Amino acid sequence: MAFPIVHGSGDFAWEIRRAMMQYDFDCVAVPLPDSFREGVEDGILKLPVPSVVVQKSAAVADYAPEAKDDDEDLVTSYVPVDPCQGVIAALRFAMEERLPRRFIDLETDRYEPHTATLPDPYALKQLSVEKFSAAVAPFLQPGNTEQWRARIDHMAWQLRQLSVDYKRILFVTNIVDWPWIREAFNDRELQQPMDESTLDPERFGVEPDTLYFLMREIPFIANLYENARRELDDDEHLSIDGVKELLITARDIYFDEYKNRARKITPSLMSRMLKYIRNLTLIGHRLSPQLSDIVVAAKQVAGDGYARVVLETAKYYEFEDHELLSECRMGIDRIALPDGDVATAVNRLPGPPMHWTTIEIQPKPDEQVRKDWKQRWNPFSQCSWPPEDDLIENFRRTVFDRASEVLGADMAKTEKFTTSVKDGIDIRDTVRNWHTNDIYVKVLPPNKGKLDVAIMLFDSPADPREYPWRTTWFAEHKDESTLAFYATDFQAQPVGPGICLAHYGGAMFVYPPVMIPDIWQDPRLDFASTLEERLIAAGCLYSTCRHVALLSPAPPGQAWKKIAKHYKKTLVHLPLSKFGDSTVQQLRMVHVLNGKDVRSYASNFIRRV
Amino acid sequence: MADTVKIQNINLHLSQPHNLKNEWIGQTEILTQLMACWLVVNDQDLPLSPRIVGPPGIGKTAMAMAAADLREQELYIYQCTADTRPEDLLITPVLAENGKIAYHASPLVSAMIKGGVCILDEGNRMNEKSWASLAPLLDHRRYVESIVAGISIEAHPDFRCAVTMNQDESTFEIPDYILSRLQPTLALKFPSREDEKAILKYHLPFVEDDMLSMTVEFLQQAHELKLDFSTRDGINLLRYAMKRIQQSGDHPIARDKAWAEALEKCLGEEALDLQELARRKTQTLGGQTLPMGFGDFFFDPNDPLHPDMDEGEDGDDGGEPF
Repeated sequence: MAFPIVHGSGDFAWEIRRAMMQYDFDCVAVPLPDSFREGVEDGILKLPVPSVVVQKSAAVADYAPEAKDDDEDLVTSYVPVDPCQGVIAALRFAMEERLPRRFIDLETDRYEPHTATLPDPYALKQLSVEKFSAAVAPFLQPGNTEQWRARIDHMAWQLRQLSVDYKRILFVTNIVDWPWIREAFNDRELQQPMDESTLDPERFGVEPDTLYFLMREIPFIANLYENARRELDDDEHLSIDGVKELLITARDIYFDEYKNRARKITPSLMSRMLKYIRNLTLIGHRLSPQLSDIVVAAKQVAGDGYARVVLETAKYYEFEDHELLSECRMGIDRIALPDGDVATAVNRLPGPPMHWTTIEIQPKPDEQVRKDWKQRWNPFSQCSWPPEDDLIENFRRTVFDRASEVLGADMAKTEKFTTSVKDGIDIRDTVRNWHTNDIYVKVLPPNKGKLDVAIMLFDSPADPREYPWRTTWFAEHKDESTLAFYATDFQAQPVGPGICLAHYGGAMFVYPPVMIPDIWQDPRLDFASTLEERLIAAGCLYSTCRHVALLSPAPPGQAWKKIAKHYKKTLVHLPLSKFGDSTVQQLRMVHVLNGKDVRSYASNFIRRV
Repeated sequence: MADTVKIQNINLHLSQPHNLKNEWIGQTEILTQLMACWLVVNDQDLPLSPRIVGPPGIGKTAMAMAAADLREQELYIYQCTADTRPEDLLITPVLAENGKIAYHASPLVSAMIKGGVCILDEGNRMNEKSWASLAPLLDHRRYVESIVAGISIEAHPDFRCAVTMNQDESTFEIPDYILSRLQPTLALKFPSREDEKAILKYHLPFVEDDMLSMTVEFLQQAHELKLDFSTRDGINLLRYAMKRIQQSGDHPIARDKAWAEALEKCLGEEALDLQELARRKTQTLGGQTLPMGFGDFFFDPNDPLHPDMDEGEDGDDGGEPF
């Protein structure tokens, strides 16, 4: 029985396992050369830990590196021992069942892959393998190299030999080769091509960060397949359900990491994200999403922070190498071997061509890099990042405007015309009430007061241990406010060389700016028992107006009102929920730069939420 | 003659669709993403209404127009402002010549009725009250209620909507319940060198190549320095420069002089200081490796396997994606 598959597809691996459980076979043949047998079977015994069996090309293996042309490159071919590969799944099952296994491909020194763009294997959930193959067959093109022809003939010839000894052979083959293998198998004139001489392949581990380039499934989803296999759970739809699992797991990690700074990722937002992922997948002519689609959707729906966590979660594969094999790093069509050589790498189980896309998203710097940045920090040279200053000052203006509205300024009213047209006829309301024959006029009440202090409490009640950085900054120019705030420790979160990130817990703005003593050291404010109270007290102390704008999640309680009353002030409350969650999260970010020269390149490292 | 339609015994005068044709140049990925937002797979499925964000003059509206053109749907554009009121967005009563009230549908409602595409341009400028009137339209209910006309209007299944927004201080006040309906957020970036030149050539086919190159060079440098000089600024700059050159036939002004004058007059004095800004940047950046994005999650920035690494002169394919 021939089983044409698309390499690197968990769905085909699942179908093969099902077929092998359903039918009896007495031999399994796979499209790999016999030289790979030992390495691949050793790797399969170590599954679910993935590994890679690499064969260097003899043509350049003995080449003296110093004599290399620029064009000459170390060439390798490899077999990924990945549980989601159909061929590996078939061999794994055969080894468990003690079935004979045959590696029937031609030995080739420089393997030339033959691939094609194929339909998404997820179609197997609605179609049988036979229908899938029949639908694909008319669009397949034969290879155009001598090596490909020889490989086809060799595999057909080997199958003929096997059919003498075995009755029920399962031949797992690449779907793009199958029609021609079948043709050659039925050709009476078939000759056996000669094997080329090759070097012995070696098996290596794979650096966990680069597993994605070995496995054609997302490592997190491959991990789910392995867990389902271990727990005997249903894994039929994991290629899609795994995406949902990935997003939900990432959301939990994201909430855990960002805590009260996390965006609200509600079920409704999740459903929009999934719908968008589905649409991106369909518009890319696929049925199951690629990692890039998932990350793009996460970024565009829930922000950079969540997208970063999704990507880091997608790389997660829990099964580690206990053999302590030398590790190589996999790339796109390239491999970095443990000896330091970087080689061109050709996959002998090639799936559809891989497309690389670039997404603007930044990983968390690793611990060593962060340590390095921290060490280089000069505590005597610190400044803010101007775009953030502008943003928060603009927001302060908005808070003043809205608080003024609450006070009654700019609150135009409309009333029926009686004796005066007041501030003009309101045409809109006059027309709206046309049927009553009444004329309506505008009334603009006089401004009830000015504002010069705004207090913003983003996190209240605030845990003082979370906000150790408390300071008062003076304006750099006339358009800036005097600013006093409590925030997280910026040195705990370096994001670039000479760039650290903190988050405001609360801030007080005095505009126009005035010189004031540091409110956190001012003994006149020591009666305040919480961070918020100290900010409110300072705001009321330095305000020259009757009203002080207060932006906070909840309305001010008695204690805060009492403080305001003490200074003969009134708090004008604005609910924080009036402003968008993502807006507030952006406003809370404050980057500290190690000197003004850092401003010139800071934007390359600073990503808004 | 404007179309009229009768809904619940109210005659509505519909707005005229735009007949602007706009070719979209470069950044095909984001256009594809917008098309994906508007895709539906069956009658029960609903389209998404994305936000298109980015600095002014970068082509946000042009991209949405190109998407409408690709879908071969009528295009309606509503320019949002700070004093847009709910009835302006939906149905406005006006005094007709016969002294009676006539009801005029906004471009948004016209698109809803006729199954067109509506772009809410600069939606960030609208206040919460106006946005609130659109809440039922942007979720599964897909209708709006006009208090003025006393009718509710259901959206045609083919109706699609996108909102363009500048990222400035006026975006503060769109509440969460609206933002959660305006998903996903598609961020438009500055175009690449080749795309920018093609865009300028498309809008100004009569401008000589050296003037275009000078402008593109300036804009690319500004983009690199993260300054907000946009392609639109480049178009305006070139238009002014060409007018100055044409102005005095008997005393022709040198092109580079006209270009420098246009630069100062259109973009201000700080634009003249780009060279200095660029020089300072290269000095301070020193040997730092800048983040490259997606690939940084798998490889060290200096790893030869990094797919986003610039191969330089020895590169095999000039950085084409795989």
